[in-house]
Amino acid sequence: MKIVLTFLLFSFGVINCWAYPAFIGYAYKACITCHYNGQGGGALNDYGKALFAAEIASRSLYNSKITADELGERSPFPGQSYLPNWYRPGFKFRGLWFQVDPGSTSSKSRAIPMQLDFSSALLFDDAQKWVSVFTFGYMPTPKALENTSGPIEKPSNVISREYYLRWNPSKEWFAYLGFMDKVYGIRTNDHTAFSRQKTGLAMNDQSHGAMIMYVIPTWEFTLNPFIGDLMQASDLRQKGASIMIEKDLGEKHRIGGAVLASENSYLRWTRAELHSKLGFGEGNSFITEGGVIQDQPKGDKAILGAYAFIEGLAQFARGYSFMSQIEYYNKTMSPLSPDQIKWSFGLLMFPAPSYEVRTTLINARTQSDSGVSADQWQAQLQFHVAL
Amino acid sequence: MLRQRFFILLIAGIWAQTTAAQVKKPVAQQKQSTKSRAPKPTPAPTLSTESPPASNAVKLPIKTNRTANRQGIILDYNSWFENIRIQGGTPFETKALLYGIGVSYEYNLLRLTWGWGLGGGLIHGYAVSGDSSDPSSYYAKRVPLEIGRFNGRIFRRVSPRFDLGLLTSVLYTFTNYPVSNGLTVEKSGSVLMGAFLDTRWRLDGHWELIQAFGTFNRGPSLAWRLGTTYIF
Repeated sequence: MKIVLTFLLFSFGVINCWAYPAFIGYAYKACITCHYNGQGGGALNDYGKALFAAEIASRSLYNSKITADELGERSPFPGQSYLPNWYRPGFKFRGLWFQVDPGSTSSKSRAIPMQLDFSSALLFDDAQKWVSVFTFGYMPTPKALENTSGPIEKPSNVISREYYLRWNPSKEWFAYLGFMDKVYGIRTNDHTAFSRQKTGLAMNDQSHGAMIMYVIPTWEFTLNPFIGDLMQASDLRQKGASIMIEKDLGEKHRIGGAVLASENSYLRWTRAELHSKLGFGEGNSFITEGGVIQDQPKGDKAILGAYAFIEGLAQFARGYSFMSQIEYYNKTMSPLSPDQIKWSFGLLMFPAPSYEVRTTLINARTQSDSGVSADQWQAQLQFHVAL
Repeated sequence: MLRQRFFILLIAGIWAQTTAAQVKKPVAQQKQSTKSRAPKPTPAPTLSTESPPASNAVKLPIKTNRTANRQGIILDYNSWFENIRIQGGTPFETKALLYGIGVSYEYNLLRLTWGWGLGGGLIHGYAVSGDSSDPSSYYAKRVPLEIGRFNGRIFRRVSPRFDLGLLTSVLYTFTNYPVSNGLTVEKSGSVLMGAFLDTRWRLDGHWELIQAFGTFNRGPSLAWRLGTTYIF
């Protein structure tokens, strides 16, 4: 307990955060502004940390005389000033408590430490033309495997979600080589969203490969050839490529599209999507993505499904927003399979730099010609700390 | 297919709306803002110079103690459950899932921090009830649904872009459930009354997104309303 309290007190004065696609509500359209990875996710750069503290998190716990720049200057990892300039450590914890069917007799609740990651960024030169990023962390054992014994092998609880080398030879070009998320669509941080789960691009679905980005003022082009997760059995590795193009339509509006094609020994994947990231007013945003998912077992017919994702943030005070997420999925794009619709509604709160709290109520509905099934409900409370 | 078309329409609509809204901005402003948001891989620039331009806040044609009106046409998707009573053997109650697309008109009166509105329209959709895997029970799918709707709402203007309020809805339904396995649906009244938590997310001066959820008097679970308003 003392360790936890010490950790919380220690982290209170420091700042970091998350950079979400929804931050287009503050006119931040490009992921590379805040992340080492040009397509977002993973470790934040110094600018991203400073930006979150200075502009996004609530400052109600700070003296009003502290300027935005001063808040930004407090953003580095604790003790950063004692570390060499070429080293940027990071830490991220995401905990989830949820209750299924709250209020009913069958209600069950559980707490999961979803993410406990440590990251290191090595900056090989002052201009950061060469950067290397490593993360490793804890992954909880899936519930289905918790009580197994015998021949079924439990996955390791230690995981690395990214390690790569980045080369920035000119203002417009970025090249990455290593283990990363595949480039496709909007990287919403909800890894259970249909747009991530059904496309096979969830929390632990990274791949070894390369990523090449060409960035000019209103366009962004990204190519991502990949060879699968080399830690997996070779016949399971999805090998292929994806390409994503994004275009800025205005100060707070970016649209884009991506195509991903890959295969392993058993299954061929094709995914295509269009998306829009729109900011309106101050801190408000709409993120939309719609796409198709085609899975084709080798020697069998392809199954074409579709999904849609809408996320809205409406800020009512600095650091505090109403949040809603609407999702749709149909496995076959036909009445043969049910329409799955999920609606999440709640609050997204950044009460202080380094902290995020989410409260969400999720209602999942299945609409099918084969009959009526009961809705599923889930109440969630998430707590995030990032340094 | 109705649902799929709706979601495709919704996403396409949001695109179209927002694209149109952005196009209206002065070209010079867009060029300037695009330049200022170019990727900056080198960390820790001075934030005061890198912060984005001030937001394009909505100018409200309202002064303290005065009102303005706002009218709109709404296209929305609705989904809810209804308990229905089955006759023909031993009577029993089961659930029907109803869903449909609605078109309605809404008139709103706005004050500085709150407002109220009235509206009405039609919903066309379908109902499904029972379970196809149970041959002895009642089952019906794609039962046509025509509904007349009247809405009233009162809301707080939480921010210039976001309204949070309470919406009451009265539905007059025209549904004719078929006979299935010798079982029929008892007419339990055509009027449904519901209360919703209503949110409006205003994208610009002409478009807003509606998300509302609540329940009807014969609804054992959540009723959804998801739509978009064209304001004129």
